[in-house]
Amino acid sequence: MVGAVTGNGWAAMALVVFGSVGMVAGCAADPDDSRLTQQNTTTTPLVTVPPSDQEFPATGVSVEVRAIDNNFKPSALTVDAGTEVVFVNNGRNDHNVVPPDDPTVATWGVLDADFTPGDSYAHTFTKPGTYVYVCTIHGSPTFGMFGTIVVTAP
Amino acid sequence: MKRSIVAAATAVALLLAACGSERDEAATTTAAADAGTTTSQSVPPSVTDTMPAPDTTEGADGVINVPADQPTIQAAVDAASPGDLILIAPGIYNEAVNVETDDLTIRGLDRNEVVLDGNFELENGIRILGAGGVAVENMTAINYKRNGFFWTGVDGFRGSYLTAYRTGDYGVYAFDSMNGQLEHIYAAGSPDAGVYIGECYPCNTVLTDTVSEHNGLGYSGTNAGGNLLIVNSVFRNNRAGIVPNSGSYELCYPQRETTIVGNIVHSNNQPDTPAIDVALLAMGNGILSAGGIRNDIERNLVYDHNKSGIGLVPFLEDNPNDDLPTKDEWDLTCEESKSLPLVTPEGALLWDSFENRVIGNVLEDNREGDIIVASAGTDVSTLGNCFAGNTLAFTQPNNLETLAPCDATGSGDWKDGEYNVAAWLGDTPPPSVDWQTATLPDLQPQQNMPDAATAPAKPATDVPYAVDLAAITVPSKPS
Repeated sequence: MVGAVTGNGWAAMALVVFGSVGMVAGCAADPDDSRLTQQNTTTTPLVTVPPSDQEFPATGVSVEVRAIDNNFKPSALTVDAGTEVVFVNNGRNDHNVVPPDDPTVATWGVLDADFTPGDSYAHTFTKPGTYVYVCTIHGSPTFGMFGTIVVTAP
Repeated sequence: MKRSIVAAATAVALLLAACGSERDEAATTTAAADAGTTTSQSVPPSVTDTMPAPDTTEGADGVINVPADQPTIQAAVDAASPGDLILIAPGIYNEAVNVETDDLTIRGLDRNEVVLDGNFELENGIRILGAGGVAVENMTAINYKRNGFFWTGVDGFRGSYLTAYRTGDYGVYAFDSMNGQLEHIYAAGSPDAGVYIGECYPCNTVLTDTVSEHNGLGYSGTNAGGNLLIVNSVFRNNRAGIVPNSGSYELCYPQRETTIVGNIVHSNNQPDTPAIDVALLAMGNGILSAGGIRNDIERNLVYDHNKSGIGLVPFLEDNPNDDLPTKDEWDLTCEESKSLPLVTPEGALLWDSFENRVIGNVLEDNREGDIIVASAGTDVSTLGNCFAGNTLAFTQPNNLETLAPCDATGSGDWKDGEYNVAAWLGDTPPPSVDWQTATLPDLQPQQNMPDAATAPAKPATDVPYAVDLAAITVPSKPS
């Protein structure tokens, strides 16, 4: 009925060092703090580097990005080409993951009808580049609920 | 690491503008057949039925008339500079307006005749993204897939004389925003909350003179608090009334320090509203702190609920994103807590309600307890909630004012009349109704702001307005 209650995580949290999350060029704020990143860039649009033509095979590595209300955590991520990124809606509202230049998510991304609470969506980024995405319900490419994934050549 | 906000919290306050007239007026509104959708469907997707803007404003510096100067609200916003006043003539506007310019005043000339209609296709009526000081006044938003009016990530906001009707998430929504004023709001027909304030601490925000009905929740405030006042308003005929709550599904937990004073909260057992899962779980409660901390609940009139009039209960969060904050962390500001990384715990979280003060409320006909305190594993005698001066028939546990008086030592047996809140998990409330088709009270004409055509621009740079909390008395029961 009632699950186990684990304790006192915030004290431990403060000791945790940011691990695999990288910084995105042009974003000065803490990479795991989406709101700080967003607020610091409201007047400076993100630099979007198109994916390259170079393509790498899937590595089998998977990294999770959580969509909560209304943030992506982490909002800035650096991964090797070939990494699968799994977006999980762990909030209580609908969200979406939309590249600003591809509103129908023809290339990648997921619309809100398929990203309700509890849903997940995975995409393997095989080409190096900087991929910007936004929840169009709760953000724009420069403010609110948005994120970036920098894909580097391994 | 702690940062006291006592000074900020006590600095607020406290001279009040007259309040209650709309509350009293709206409290007598009677429900009728739903007319909202027929209005919207009969209008083509363009501005219609417009009238010229008043001569007093034409050509004036810093005033942009819609549609006289700009054809759409969005075009006016895009053309505006900080400090400008956008005046909107009566008409139906099928727009989803985004605002990213600071200090605008966006005003309808007639609250009931300036209607933004999402046609069940558009996301938000007016969305303010990071632009501080934006005031939205005197208009109606209907049929939006998400929200009627939505501020996110702003410092300084005001919504005045706004009507939100039949919206897919919230009616009026302030998220990650601080220093705000929401006043003279009417919100109906949202599956989540008619009015929602979330993810802010300190919020420094006032919600007043509002009527919220036929929503999943009349008010919801996840992880919101710190000089957050909910006063002089009416929350009726929702699934649940006023629900401050904690959870790690958004940031800045826990919910804390909301002051709820002078409200009429009644009959929140409405079985035919749209409703999210939390609204279904909370159904039948008037004021329900679900994992809320250090809230002050005073001098409210709360009656006719199937469960509690005022409930202090836990929120069980399955699949949390982070662990519970320690008591030392309750004083962290929102910005401070955001910088902490998430540490996903194993299992569910139980957010208990701690250190709330329930004083001087008038409660009647709340069928499972005028006041209920409960947990699901924690000894409720250790939660630090207190109760004094309430007019009531019975509580669960029994005799809460003797068990835990405010500013005195309690005595008695907490096991006497212990309440089993876990039983709610086995309830089968009437299911949610589609928000697009739910039967709602007829949209009655709502009070207009004074002097809409002639009042100067008033960006939200001076909010919240002071409230004289001490002068607020328990409201009278509407006839």
